[in-house]
Amino acid sequence: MTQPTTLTDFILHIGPNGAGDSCALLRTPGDEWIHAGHVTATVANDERFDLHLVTPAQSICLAGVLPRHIAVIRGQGLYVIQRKDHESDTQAVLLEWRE
Amino acid sequence: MINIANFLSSGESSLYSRKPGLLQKAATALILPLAIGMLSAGAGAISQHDTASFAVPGQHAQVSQLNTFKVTGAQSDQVLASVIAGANGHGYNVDGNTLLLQALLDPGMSTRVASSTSAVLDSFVASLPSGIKTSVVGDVSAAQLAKSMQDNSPDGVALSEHTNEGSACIVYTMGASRTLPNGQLAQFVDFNDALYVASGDSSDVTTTLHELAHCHPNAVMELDNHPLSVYYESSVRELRSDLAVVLYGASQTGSFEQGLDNVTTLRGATPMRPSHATVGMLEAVTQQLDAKSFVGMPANQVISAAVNIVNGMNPATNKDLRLAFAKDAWTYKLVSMGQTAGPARDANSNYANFAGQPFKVDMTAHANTIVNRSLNHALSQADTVRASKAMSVSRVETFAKGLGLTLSPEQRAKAEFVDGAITPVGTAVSKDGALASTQSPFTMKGLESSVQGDLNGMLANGLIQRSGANTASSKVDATEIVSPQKHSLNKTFGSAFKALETAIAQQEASTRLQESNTWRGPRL
Repeated sequence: MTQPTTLTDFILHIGPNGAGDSCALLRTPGDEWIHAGHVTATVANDERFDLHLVTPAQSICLAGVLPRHIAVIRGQGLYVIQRKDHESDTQAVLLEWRE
Repeated sequence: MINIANFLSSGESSLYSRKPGLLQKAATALILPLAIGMLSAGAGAISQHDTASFAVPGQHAQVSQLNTFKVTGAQSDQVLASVIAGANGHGYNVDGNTLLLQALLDPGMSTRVASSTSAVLDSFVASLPSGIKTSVVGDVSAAQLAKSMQDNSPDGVALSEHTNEGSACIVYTMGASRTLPNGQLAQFVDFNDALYVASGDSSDVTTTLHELAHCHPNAVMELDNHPLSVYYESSVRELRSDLAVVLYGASQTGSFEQGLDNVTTLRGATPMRPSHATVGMLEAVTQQLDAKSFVGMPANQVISAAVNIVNGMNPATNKDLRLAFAKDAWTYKLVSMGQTAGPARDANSNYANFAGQPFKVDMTAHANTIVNRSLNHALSQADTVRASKAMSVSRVETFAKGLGLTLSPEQRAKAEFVDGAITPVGTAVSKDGALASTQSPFTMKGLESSVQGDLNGMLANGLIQRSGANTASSKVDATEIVSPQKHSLNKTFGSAFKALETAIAQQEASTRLQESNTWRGPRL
């Protein structure tokens, strides 16, 4: 059973990617590596959403995400930009949106 | 695959954190190592050219510094931006309301839209191709058109035209239903033929979503020659617009309920407008949809989805829609004749023929639907309703009686909970704990927030550009705190590298301070 983790401190970046904008979760070196999977959202409150990152072995919730981030993620999925350590290359892993 | 360097070098980063003061730490801890690591380790996606761009954090300022647009109020004399090229190749100036409407309707700007309350509406009108201008505006001035729209349709209206020359729409929505004779805005609207009292904010959002859906081309409907056809055709147009409101509520809450409460309260007016009979059709349509599938959907997609859903149902021949409409129409026919009591009533042949089948209507069930949704809507506006002193228990009783209904204890309790003479403003929960005020998803703040990404995209794509320094927009701080009290502190800054620049400066300042303190003497 995957143990769910809730993150309340995180950074989302919206930037250009091809023809439109994409959204990425920025991770610091050494953070738990997030594998490919999918992302979905549920209504929180106060016009916010909880974003659920689901991978084969992980269940991570980003709490209180704004609608405009959800809108971009809904269209383009969520990239996770991360590095294993300071010596490694930066990588972007795409989690596709799932209804 | 994403080009990480390009992606991070512009755009907008948002910090979510409950911890005040974490911004700089986060920028230093998260973004700084990431960027420096990319530079030093040479991430695969970064070319030498891309790397050079990191040294120029401000080069994307056109996008990054302009990340917040503001709606400019009901009567707007502030020019926020200019459209680079209008439909006839000429640019025009726009106010904040027009920007909001454009992003909500069509951020790609195939259809041009303007707010009739814009003080620079004449600029928009002048940019229209001659055929569209003639059709939408006629031979009056922009100011005369705006006044005419407001005078003739005080509750909001959209004038649109779609030709080979392009598509355009002028909308009266901001301040609709609440502009007082002296031009000032009332804080709330009160439709006294219904149980509809709502904040001005909620009303403006509802009207905006509704009228923008009217900017889409009408569905082509070839209806049979029937006395009800003209009302049905009109009601289907209204259905698309009312569905846009309901779907927007679902995009914010994952449920149709608050949108249905909102619209049903409006449409439940007595006497009913037969050309706006959408209550039954909305229930029929939403029963076939999954509310959760609309969660997070951008508002412009919500509006087009509403239009496409109804168009795709082939309303001219759709049995469910025709039956739902006929039931509403027959119900109100009975109400108008005072026949509200008794068992379910068979429709007469005229209504049954339109529905394509015999049917009955349950007057009590219908009355309960209207009253219950109206009371639930009032709960979402509880303090506005109380402060207005406009919706007393006796008003609810009288309205319900007109539909043949005596209030149940639960309905009466809700009516008392929102009656300002009984329950003080600010009461969140009833004394017995059985009732609680709810939060309306129809807020201008939410609507405004939902379009910022599209507006930035319009800037980035060269469709619009910011106006000069003497505009309201230039006063908006690029680092705006959003909703700091609840949920989490969210701070938006221009780009990852703008934050990086700040973080580096902070780090350097911190280093200098520590050296200085050490040099001067003992620490406290």
